[in-house]
Amino acid sequence: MEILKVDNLYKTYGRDENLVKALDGVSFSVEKGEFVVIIGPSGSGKSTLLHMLGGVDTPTSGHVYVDGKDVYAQDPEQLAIFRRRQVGLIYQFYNLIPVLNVVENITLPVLMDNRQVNQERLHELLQTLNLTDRAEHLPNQLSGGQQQRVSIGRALINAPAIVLADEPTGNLDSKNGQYIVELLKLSNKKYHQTLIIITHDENIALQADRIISIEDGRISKDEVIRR
Amino acid sequence: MNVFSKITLSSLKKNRTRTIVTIIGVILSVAMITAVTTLIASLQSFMIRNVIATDGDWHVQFMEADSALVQRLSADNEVAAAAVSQNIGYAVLEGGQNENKPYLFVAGFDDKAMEMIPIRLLDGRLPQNDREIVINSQINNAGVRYKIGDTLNLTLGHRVLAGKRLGQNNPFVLDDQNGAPRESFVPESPKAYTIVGICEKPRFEDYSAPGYTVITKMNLAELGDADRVNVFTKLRYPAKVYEFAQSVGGGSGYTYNNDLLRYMGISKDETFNAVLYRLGGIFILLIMLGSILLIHNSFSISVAERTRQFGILSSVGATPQQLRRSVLLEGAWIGLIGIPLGIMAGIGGIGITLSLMSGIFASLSYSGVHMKLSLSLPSLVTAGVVGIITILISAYIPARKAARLSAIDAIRQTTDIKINAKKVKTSRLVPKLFGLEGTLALKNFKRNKKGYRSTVISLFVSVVLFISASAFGIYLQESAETTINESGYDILFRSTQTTDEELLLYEKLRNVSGVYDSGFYKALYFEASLPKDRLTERYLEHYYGDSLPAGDMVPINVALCLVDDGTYAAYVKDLGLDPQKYAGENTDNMIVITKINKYDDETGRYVSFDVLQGSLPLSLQLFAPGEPSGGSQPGPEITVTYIADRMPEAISESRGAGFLVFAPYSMNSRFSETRDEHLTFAFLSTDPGKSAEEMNAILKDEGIFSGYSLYNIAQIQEQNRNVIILINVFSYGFILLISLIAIANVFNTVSTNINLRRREFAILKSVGMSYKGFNKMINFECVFYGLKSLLYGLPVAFIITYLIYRSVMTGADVAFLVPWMSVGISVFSVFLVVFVTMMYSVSKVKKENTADALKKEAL
Repeated sequence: MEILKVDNLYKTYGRDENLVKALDGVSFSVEKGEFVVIIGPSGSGKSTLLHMLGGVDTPTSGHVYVDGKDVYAQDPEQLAIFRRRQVGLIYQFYNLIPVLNVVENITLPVLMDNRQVNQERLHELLQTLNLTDRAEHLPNQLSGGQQQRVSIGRALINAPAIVLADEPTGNLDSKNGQYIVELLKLSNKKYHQTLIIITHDENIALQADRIISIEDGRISKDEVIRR
Repeated sequence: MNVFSKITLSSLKKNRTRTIVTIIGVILSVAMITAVTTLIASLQSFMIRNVIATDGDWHVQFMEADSALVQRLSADNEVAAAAVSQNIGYAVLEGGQNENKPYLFVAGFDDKAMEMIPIRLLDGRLPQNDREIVINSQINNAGVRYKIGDTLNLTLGHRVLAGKRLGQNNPFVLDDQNGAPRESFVPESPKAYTIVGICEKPRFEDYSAPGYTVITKMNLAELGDADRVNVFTKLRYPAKVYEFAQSVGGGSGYTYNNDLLRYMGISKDETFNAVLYRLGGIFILLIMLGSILLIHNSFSISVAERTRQFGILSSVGATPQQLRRSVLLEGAWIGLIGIPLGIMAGIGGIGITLSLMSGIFASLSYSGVHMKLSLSLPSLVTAGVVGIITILISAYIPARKAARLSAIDAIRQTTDIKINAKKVKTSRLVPKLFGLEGTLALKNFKRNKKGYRSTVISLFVSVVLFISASAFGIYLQESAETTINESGYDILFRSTQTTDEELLLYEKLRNVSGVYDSGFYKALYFEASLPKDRLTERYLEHYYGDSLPAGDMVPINVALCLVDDGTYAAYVKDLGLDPQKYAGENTDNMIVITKINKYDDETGRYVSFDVLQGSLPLSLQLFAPGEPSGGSQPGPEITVTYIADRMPEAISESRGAGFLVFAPYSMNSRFSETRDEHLTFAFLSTDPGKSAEEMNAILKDEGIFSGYSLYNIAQIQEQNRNVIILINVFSYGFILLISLIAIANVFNTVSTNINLRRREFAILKSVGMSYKGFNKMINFECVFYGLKSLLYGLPVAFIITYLIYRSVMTGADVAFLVPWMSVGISVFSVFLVVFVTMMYSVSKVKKENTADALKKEAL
């Protein structure tokens, strides 16, 4: 089943001689439960692409369909709710709210929805992320790996259909990095979530179902590794 | 607690200094608004108390009421108090010379009426029974003088015309044909009263009323069935007065205390309140605009700092509405603390100001009513609501901006600084003049224009307001000084009684303590006809324009001043004239001033020009004013032989109309009485206040209570000075508060900007910039901000100063001057504020370890 469809996506910055094409007509689609890795040199447009998929940046033209719905045809309120419920975003630099503790940071998308936090799910998540004894800590009291696990928790709390990660291991040592990837893969298998990761790490890339290579804002290679 | 509340509250706590400074800004702004609304409330209360003191503390008066109505009103639940007055009757005023007011009008007041209707005693006490009476000081104007203790034997009666009884609102009318009165007086009963007091003319007596009001005490219990009285009622709910009056109505009619109802805001005529509210509204709007400009900046800074936070929140699904609300929540917290404190500070501030100024207010009040602090719920609620609106607007502008930003832009903070090489390009001269540090400073300044815009605007506003306010004060003082006391005398007494006996009074008045010099003159006003060719073009143009009468002759005003012989002799000597020729009672040589000073409506200035052309001597045939030349009764003929450029001392006449002619008083017998003349005494005193007081006592002893004016010029000057002090206190208070808000704003902007540039400073330090060099760069930046504020501020301040000069100095001939002192103070203060805040902010950054700062993310 097709969960994500990208249709002829363009993103440009500046104009005339300063015109930069970050995305130059990208189209592809992803099946539900697929684990996709996006690779490419820096400045190739892969981060921009990921942000488009997550609904945090707006394309110059083209469409992104999630579950058959045109993401950028929604008004800002609907788009925010889409980000809150449908996708989980993980950044290289964690992007946690410094004044909130671990549990509050993880449950942020639920709190914004004014919903009750499912305590069972939270505990399960804390356990899986190995953060149970850090629940009350503030971000600046945590190590890099721990902070990244908090941000994964935040991405997963609402059980989104798609998890997007922008070099989630880029700032971590290899041991912590592998741990993070294992967590994401676990979630991918267990909940049948779609997982899209940007990475420079070949080891991670080789664990994926499919690798998409981007160069100069275009897809240069799209290969399925395993099915 | 909601997750957004928690984030908002935590970031407010984290930036404690800025939060406190922002709250101080809100406190100041709300305090100023409260001061305005409270001042309006106090002014309204002052006006109401003033009206009560002059017109009485009642709402509606029922006329011609019988005793049944009196009882009904007294028992009515809606009536808080009812007072009764009775029209006892008229009596002929023996010896009265006022042909329009030949009667005494005797009114009886009950106890309540004595309380509720003001009787302003000049001397003595109020009547305590129906045989005692208080007389009206205006009786003097009819040439009749009574003293306390005198017995008044009256024949009471009523006035009738064509079978109808007449009242105080029917003027005394003489028949056009035979000059006899149309009405007739019907005497009824004799009555003797003892005079126990003298009061000012009661406000309810109209100028056209035929009888001088005198007031005795009435006994309500003795009221007969046929008697008719006036009932003054004060209502429990004044707003219902119109309904109430209509419901009681009756055939007798009623009138309202319109002034009181107007000031209470009940009357339909809202002019006074409208003007007050409009003026207050303008002030509040100005304060609001200033505050929004400044407070909004604090929120902008907070939002800019939290942009990344907003981005993260947005990326995990916060809606734009939630983000906006989060900023507004910040405003709510600040308002929650700032507004109540601001209201309290405002009340305290205006309360202290009013009590410190109470002496000055007292000196300006004629009714004895004092200005004091009055609080009203609406005024405080208004201040609170305006404060809330101010904060909401201030918070909403940056909130909208924050919510609009796309999530990833916010996280990357890409839109905050847009920069290109052209914008920060500096001239090649700069490095030579200021060195590398100066160049960097200038580049920073250029790059960060937007960030520092509010600093420049804040300083600009303060500079402009400060200089304009002090210019306003200076000009006000100048104009007050130039317009008063031309005569050079401390006390002036002017009376319309011009008989020779009046000079006995002069002898008495000049002997009070403190008086060391004096003079007097009698002014008589005439007209004369002159051939057109003896008058200047300028005069004819000015007075007649296109409507110049046909024929050769043109009328001109002549004011003849008969000056006491001593003063006149000194005047003649001063002008260097021959005393033999000019002084003495038989002289035919009079002195004239032919130059006039007049306010010109078109140019808005005083103009000065000559009236006469051709040679002297000039003979003038005088006429009573208004009579056509050559009319029925020609006046005396006079000859003027000398043109003077100044008046004798002691003269205070305006030179606005035509000729001012001077002659010695010993010639008085030559001139018969004219319709319009007055006698003026002028005194110099070592202690004008005391002298004037003694003079008043003498006048009281003489039984003179009206028909004269006693001007204590020294006191008038004092009052003028007090008005200026008042205006200065309020305007400088206003400026001070605005400036404090501005300083708070500068502090917030500068410290935040420095804080945001930590990394940049660390980079400069890591590549080897010394502390000295760093300080130099910061100092240059300070100079640039100061200069920029002054570059805009000073010219605008000068323009406003000039506009103030044009509007305040209407007429008076004073040169335009720049308040250099204030300019100096503002230049100094601008640099002081910028340098101190810069140094403070930088000192906090300096302590930081360079490596830490380099590693630090903006969050």
